[in-house]
Amino acid sequence: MNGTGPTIRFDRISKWFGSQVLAVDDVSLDIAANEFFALLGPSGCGKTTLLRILAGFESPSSGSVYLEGRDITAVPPNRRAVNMVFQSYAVFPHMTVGQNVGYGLRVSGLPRREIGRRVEEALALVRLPGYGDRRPEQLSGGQRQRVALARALVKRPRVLLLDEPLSALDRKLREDMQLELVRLRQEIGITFVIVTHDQEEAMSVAGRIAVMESGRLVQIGSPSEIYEHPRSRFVADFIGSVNLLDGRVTGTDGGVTALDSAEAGGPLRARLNGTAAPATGDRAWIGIRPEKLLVDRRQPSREGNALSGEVLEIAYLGERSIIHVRLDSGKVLKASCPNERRFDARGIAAGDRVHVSWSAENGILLTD
Amino acid sequence: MRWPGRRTPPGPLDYTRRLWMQALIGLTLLFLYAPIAILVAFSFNDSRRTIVWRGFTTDWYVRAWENARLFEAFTNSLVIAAIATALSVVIGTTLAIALWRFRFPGKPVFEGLVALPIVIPEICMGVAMMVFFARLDWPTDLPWPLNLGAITIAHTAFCFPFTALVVRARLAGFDRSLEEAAKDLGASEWQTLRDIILPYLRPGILAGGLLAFTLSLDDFVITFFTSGPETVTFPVLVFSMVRFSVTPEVNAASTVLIVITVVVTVLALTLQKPTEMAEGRPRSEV
Repeated sequence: MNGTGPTIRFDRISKWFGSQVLAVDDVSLDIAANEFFALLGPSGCGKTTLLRILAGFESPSSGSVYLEGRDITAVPPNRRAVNMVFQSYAVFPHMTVGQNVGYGLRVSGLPRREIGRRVEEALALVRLPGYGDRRPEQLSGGQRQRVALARALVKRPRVLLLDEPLSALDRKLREDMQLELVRLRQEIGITFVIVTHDQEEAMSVAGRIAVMESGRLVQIGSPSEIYEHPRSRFVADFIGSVNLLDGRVTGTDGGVTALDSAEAGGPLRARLNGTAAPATGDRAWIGIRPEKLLVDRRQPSREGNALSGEVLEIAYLGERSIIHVRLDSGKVLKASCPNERRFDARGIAAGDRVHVSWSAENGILLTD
Repeated sequence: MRWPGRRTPPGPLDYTRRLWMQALIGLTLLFLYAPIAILVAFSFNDSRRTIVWRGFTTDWYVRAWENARLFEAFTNSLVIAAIATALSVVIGTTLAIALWRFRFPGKPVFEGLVALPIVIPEICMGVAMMVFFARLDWPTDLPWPLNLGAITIAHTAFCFPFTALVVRARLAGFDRSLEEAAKDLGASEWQTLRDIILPYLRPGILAGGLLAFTLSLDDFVITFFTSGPETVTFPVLVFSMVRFSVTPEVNAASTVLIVITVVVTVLALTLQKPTEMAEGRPRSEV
């Protein structure tokens, strides 16, 4: 194993389907050893194509893929030390669970005894011990998922690929499986690459996330970097939800950029975070996460941005409520407020005049 | 609440409770099965003539069994059907997989050409086959079972497109990710075909084979044109026998044929069941 280099390197990968569709647009990306990496983006953004290029089911129109320093661009899928868990699980319906899990070992010609031992091992790893003789149709969706996992892991791949692995499971089970995936990866210590359109899923399992949009990589970072410091409106909007206020830069002073926003009906201020100050007069947006907004009937005393408006409606979601506030400019902001008490202590109802405030640190300045 | 002394009126979809529908179903079944029932019944009739019931006997079955010519024709039909089925399954399945798997120039034309035997009138196929074998100077005096060669080839030619059709229909529902999963796990093209695609196709291959078997077994027209003077199959012999009169012997032999066909069909359907069940999508999560 190459100790220093990345486990996976995509080097200027592009993929055309026909001459019209550019599914992957000049993507270069390094994935380190033992990383849990997520490719995140809306459907059609090229994330699955990138994963299939890594698995060998698609060959890139240009560029190269390296696995542990070796160029594998031309290696067929059955000779790559990567294994995949398919979205549909692709559990072979005519084989038992044990035959499914052992299939990869069987075709590589391992002795029967060794196969039996490793199948049991893999089933124990995914917490399905003793399921070897069951048939796939006797299993629930979650169990099939585990069979698919065991089948891929039994080959002891360098990299495990997961293509929207949890999308068919219901919410509770999905959360359990997310924890399970994290545990598995820590236990066996290999690189996991997951493709998902579900930002919550990506954030809960992955150590690093690459956000893709129309074939391009738009941002790579840890979940908190992506969430708290999105570099574009697309990322801010795709990961979580965000309130955007449109405006023009009026100047930057002491790391705080001021914006004149018609939507806010006045000046706004946002603290820069290591990014270059935008030029005065440029168009820019301030993004504020709903949970960073404070809604109060009283005038806020603290420093920062404060706007006034009228409560449009309150959506009660259990652990929190979403308050929709229409600003005087007509722009509607969403504020997420935790329901910390059983009896409503906010005393806010639809139609009330309220103040919405946030600090300059909590506003994200976006120029793209 | 119910009206006293009256049953609830049939609901909108309760068709089977409507009188006219019951009558229609009854008539349809009668129309379909009465001739067959009569054929079977009169094979047990203790009379040479087939119109008056005289009492029960199994004599005709013995007579049919002892009728060397009838027995030979029967065996010939089964042998031809078996070989033609085997060949059709191999050619048809290969064809179906090739058409599903590959793209090549002229594919639509090729597809049309191989489906042609399905639409060409049988009589034309028969004449064409006759001319074809005559042109080849196909020998007609070969010993059994080589004398069945021409008929078997002709049967295979019109049966395999049906097999291919059925197998292709099955292939259309194939989840490509199963194939990719196999390759991902290290299987070669051949291993994928053997371990994943063929097992998936089994019900289709079985159904296609069954279709070929029954088509071949009761074919008259094409067989008539391709059989030599000395080779005879069951349908051709029955045809020549009933030109004089329908004897209960023919009834008996026909009944045996019906039983064979039904048994084979039931067997095939039972064999098919477990794989059909395996296709269920993921059930509710546990």
